[in-house]
Amino acid sequence: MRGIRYGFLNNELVQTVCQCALGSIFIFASIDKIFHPIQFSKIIENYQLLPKTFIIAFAVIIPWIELSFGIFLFLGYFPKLSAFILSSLITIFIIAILINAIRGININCGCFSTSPEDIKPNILFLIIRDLLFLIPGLVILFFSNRPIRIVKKAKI
Amino acid sequence: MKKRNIRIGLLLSMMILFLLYYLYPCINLKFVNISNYVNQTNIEEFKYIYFLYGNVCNLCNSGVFLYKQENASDVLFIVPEELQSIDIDNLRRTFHLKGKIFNGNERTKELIKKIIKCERIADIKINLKVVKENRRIKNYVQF
Repeated sequence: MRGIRYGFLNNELVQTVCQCALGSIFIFASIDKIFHPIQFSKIIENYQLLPKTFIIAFAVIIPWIELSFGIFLFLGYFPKLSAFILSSLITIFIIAILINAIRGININCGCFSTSPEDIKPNILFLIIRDLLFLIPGLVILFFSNRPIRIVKKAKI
Repeated sequence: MKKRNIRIGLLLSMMILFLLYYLYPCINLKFVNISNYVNQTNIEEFKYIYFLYGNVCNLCNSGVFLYKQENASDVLFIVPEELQSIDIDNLRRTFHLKGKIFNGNERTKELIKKIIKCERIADIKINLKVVKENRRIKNYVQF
């Protein structure tokens, strides 16, 4: 794999655009949740996926993870790690939406806003949108110039 | 280094824009002039305004909260326009309310909508205690 060069996706400009795009998406998504953790916890509760004891913790921690790694990615710090974490989050959100789609529950996504005024978009739209959000993360993860450094522990 | 500085600048301006976008309903609420929404000429006399658009019962939290306000005269109670004078009398007698009670209108509903938009509450059927200061909303509590 090392020898393969993906000229376009490897390009610094493309990488920067992907980093800024994914970073800004997550920064934008996190702000409202940080200001309204109780409302966000209600949205998570509606997903009916987590036990009640974890909901508050999840509602408080997730937006801060989104914000901090969004900022890291936007500024170009730890791009692969940030892209990995944010892409994992998107994957988790897609799975959560899919599970509720199978159950037939139409939930308020809570992706960008905790406002009850938000129109409930259809699930197909949400999944396609999240899949599109996954693209920049995957581009950073798999086509970035900077290799992931894996430090192996020396055997004693 | 120059590229990173550009990114930091972009990030800061973006964050300010996002914050303004999300906090706009609450910022807007800070500048609301209550007298434009509550049609009372003597609005200055009242320190607190209660919007009783939700459920009020003797033993529930809202009722207990209202009992605490008995005999306070600097309080204005606003109830939905559907409520008739007999219901208002019942309310006054049940909770020993001394303050003025009157029916709201579409404008009062607009004010409540502004508050629920800031608080991210879905339904207008809530009870609110608004603390007033110089015709502006100083603070509010949902009960």
